[in-house]
Amino acid sequence: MGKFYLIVLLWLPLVVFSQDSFTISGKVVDDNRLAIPFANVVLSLDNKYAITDENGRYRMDNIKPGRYSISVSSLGFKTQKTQITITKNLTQNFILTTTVEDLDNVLVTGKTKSKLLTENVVAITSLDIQKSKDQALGVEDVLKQSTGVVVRQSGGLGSNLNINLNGLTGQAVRTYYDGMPIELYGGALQLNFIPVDALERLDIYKGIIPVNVGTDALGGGLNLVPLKIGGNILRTSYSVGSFNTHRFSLHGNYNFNENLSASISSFINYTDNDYEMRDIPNIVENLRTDGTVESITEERINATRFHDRFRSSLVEASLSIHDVPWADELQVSALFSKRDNQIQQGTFITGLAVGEAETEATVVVQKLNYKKAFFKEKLKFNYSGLYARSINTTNDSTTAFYNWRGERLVTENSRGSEIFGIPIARKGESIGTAHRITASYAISDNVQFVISEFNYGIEIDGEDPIGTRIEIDGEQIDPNTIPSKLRSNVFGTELNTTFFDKKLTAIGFYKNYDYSARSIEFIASGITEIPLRTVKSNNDGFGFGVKYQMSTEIFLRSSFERTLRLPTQNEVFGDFAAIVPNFELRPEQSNNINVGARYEKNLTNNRFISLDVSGFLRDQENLIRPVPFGPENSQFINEANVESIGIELGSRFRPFSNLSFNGSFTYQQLEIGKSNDIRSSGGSEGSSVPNIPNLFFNVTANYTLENIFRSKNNLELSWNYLFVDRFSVNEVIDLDSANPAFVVPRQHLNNANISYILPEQNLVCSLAVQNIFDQEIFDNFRIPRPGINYAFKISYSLQ
Amino acid sequence: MIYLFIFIHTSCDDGLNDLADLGDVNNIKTSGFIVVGTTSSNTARVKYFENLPSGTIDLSDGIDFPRFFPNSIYNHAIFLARPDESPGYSKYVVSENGDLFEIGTLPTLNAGSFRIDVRDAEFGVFQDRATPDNITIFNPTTLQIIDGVDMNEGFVPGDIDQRYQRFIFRGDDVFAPIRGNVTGESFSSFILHQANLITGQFVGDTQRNGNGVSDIITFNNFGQRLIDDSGNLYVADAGNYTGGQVWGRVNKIPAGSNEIDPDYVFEPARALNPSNVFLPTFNNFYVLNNGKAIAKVNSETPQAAIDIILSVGGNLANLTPAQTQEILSILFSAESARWCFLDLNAFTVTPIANIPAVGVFSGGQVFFDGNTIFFPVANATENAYFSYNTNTEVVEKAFEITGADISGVYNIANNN
Repeated sequence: MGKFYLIVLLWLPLVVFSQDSFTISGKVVDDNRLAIPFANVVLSLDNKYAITDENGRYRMDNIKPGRYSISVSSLGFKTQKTQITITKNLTQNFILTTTVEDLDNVLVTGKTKSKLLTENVVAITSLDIQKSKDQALGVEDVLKQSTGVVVRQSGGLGSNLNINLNGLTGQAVRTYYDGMPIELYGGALQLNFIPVDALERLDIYKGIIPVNVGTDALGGGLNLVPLKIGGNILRTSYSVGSFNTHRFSLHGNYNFNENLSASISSFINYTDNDYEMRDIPNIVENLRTDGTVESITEERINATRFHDRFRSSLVEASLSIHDVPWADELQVSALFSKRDNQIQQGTFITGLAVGEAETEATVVVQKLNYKKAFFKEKLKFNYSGLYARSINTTNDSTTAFYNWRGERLVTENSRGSEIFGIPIARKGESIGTAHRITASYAISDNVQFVISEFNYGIEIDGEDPIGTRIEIDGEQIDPNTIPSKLRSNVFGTELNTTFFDKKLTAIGFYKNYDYSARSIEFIASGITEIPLRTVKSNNDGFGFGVKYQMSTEIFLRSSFERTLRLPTQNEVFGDFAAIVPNFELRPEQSNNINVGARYEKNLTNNRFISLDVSGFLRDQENLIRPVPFGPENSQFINEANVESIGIELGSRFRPFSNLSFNGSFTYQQLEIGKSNDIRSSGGSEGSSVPNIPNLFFNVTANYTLENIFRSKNNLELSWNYLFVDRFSVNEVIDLDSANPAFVVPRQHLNNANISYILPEQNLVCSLAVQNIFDQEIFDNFRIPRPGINYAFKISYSLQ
Repeated sequence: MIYLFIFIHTSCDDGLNDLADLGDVNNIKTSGFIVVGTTSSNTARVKYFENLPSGTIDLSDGIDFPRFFPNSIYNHAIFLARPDESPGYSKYVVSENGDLFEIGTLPTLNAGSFRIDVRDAEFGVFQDRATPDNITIFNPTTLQIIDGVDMNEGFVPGDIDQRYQRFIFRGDDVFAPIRGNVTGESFSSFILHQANLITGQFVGDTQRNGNGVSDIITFNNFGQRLIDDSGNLYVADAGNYTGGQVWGRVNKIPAGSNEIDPDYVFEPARALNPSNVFLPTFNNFYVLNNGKAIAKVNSETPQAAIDIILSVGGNLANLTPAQTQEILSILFSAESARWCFLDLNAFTVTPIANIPAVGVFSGGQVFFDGNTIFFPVANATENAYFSYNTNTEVVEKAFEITGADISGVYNIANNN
């Protein structure tokens, strides 16, 4: 707590106290008395404005006495204006009615939450998923269209996913679901199988992650914000596509009265992922006449994936109480999810396929969210709690070999596993709990102080009847049966201040990361008791940022942060197989600088243009990497340092009211610096970080044809082109002298979507065509991606 | 602007790399040196040098592979596990243009198959770890499979699957030390299986025992060079390097015998420093002329490890598993080994003066060129080869390597 008081004292000199004046506050709701978040409330003459919070509440301070015109607007609602006279503190509520006709006007003048985040002082790209919700796309497809983001999968729907964000990848990029680390959901949720219509937004943090979202992250993260719908509404969609892919979703909300509502969110995914891969190696056995194997040879074939089925389902039900004296919102939720994946290959494509290995997960999650504002909205208190129990099974225990024709070979697989080094039939139980408490206090109209405490813990145990054993006092023990525990506490405090009539915004934050983990030391030998080992660490991070609004059209922003990423349990304790522990592993650290500028202008006749330019500079230290440990094993150590620099451009351009373009461009250089490994003489200095492209961009064109076939029915056409420059899967200094066999060639991907919207029937039909020109597209480590493929989606809502 | 850029860019070529001009692969290089380096991502950078390297050589423009670990060289061809990490083995040559060129493969089912050895132009042996009780005899010139040898009769403690660490030729026989196949576990004795290349039959087995508890490890080193002037075969085991206190040993199979001589006990690490009990191992063992050999012998225990031992009263039995692990971590990265000459008859070990200390697991393979032996030195300050002239006994730094950490240098003029 000493640190806490110190921080408060440090911030106090920055605080600008408010002057005497009046306050106007209130709440904005819709026809169903549901709060309208992020509505614009504008006060004439005084040039003041406010945005409603998630409870629909707004507040404006320092209002001088007088008569004003106040207007409220929000996406999808009729703008409302009224006259008020300020002679004292005033409460003014608004009820907005929904509209379709007014949509365009609001689009121009209103600000969605996504747009507000994009204009934040820190570099955030917030993707408004609702604009794509009716398209037959996955969330990963939408994410690919953002600047600075590379999404790579090891196969089709449901396969392993790797996100590269501003050059950071793997564990360095954290993913959150509704502000909670997604791993707490025990595999129930993954970015690449959540339907696009199950999300409200996707926030991409490229620098500072706010204290009320982040945990440990090296310099970036994704927050998937689940869909929030109000009113009595039921939305459903179904899509069917290539490779026997079916996706169904259902989302609904029902208001019992103005204080009580219930909602449901659910989805089902199924796919065989049986797409063709071209020109891959395939092992063939040459048999003698007696059926025994004489030799094996390798051929090149076009092969159809045959063991890549993916099934997942999720249902979440919530009960919410709103606007009662003791709570602005109390939401209790329960979530159930089940998922199973067949596995088709390991990291690389080799001459053998995986024909039997699979994983399963069953997850139950209970959540509680509580929000309450005090002292006339000055103090806001949020609590989120989560309890998750998941059962995960991994089965890789066959004596069979399969080739890419799906044939079982005569030769028996003596190893007894297809992917792992040893046979595995592990069933593990994971219990995770998380609590996040956030309090924000508006010290004045210009100063807001936020404090957040996030605490989470996971306990994992299980059993594996055929896995590794350790010998304790002569007895063989399954190390999976010994619970591993991990607990982490992240304390954060943040100060937001504005100056010069809110033209200059400054933010500063401090975070403290406290971490402890306990697990069995599985390589111990000659022992007489269970060798439990505990590691602890306590580290600090900090950062600050400023934004200057030069005019209504242009702003500049810059931020600096020192962040860290804590080692994972596997990295510290090993994996009960080939990875040996390293109890001295230190967190990865990074100093990040982000700078950017944004220009946007609303032109006449609903035309629009915007341009974002940003750059980043990172100096990463103590990168955690595996290195050989003796002749057989590997160990994670703090090794290389990496220096990264990049530039990003993003643009939106609407030359006509029914035609728009979005584009994004990223160029980055990620260079390996000096190694910390005493066994290295620094021979890799200057090499590019492998398996990450330096240049990629995409452009999307959207065109709307109005009143097609029938009045008000629109046809929306969309075309997306994605370019990824060549890159090497190996560490090379110069791509021109790199081994062409391991260079992933330049890729051109073209996708199209056509949607027919029938607003009066609340119906949308979409057809998406991916990889239109049937190009060879590669993913992580040259894994081939599907050729041309189709998906048809129908969306319906009932109000 | 961004749209203009995209338009211009997409008008350009697709940027696919053309394959290197390989020239006439029938006119392969018959001399020269393949220098292999390791990157921080554990991938390989490989570059051919026509002449013996000198000064500082740069690997940064070398050709890259996911791995490149030669096992054998014969008739100027390199035999190794497939550098693209596909299951199996490759045969590489250097084309007349100095490019590495894969002229054939021997696929296997198991991606972990890692050892191929060549005796001469007619016989080589490899193992597919998918069939652990078998080894395969092949023709290194044509890469045709000659025969499979059922090694099922060989003694394996616990009768678990084994793999062969390497193949050591003596005449028409091949000796192969075994190791557990599935998890890499070892056995508490050092066991060799023997087969005959001509008959394609299993011949027998021989072993040296340890303490009956601790595993005995063996290393994979390039090539052969394990038979002395009298036809005695020397095979090294590494002892135990996880605190089991079993000394690594040079094992002798006398000429004319198929059995390890139980009376021949030569433990180089013990000879060099009898108090070095935690990591009493040695590596890169090669037999020279006149009863001499070379090896990298671990010689010292770092002070940080000694301090931990002293903290429990100097009694190793009092160490906790965590302390043992910590000591091993220190030892694995310590520069506590020396390049040494071994006298196989006098059982003496002599560090070679003026060659810096290295870690016993540090990278690099010894190579030979005429009367000169080249020793790799990869430590915190050096990434170089030091030469030792057997005529003049002069040691000097031969060349430094930049652009990657040392993995090995291979003289393609020499057979194994």
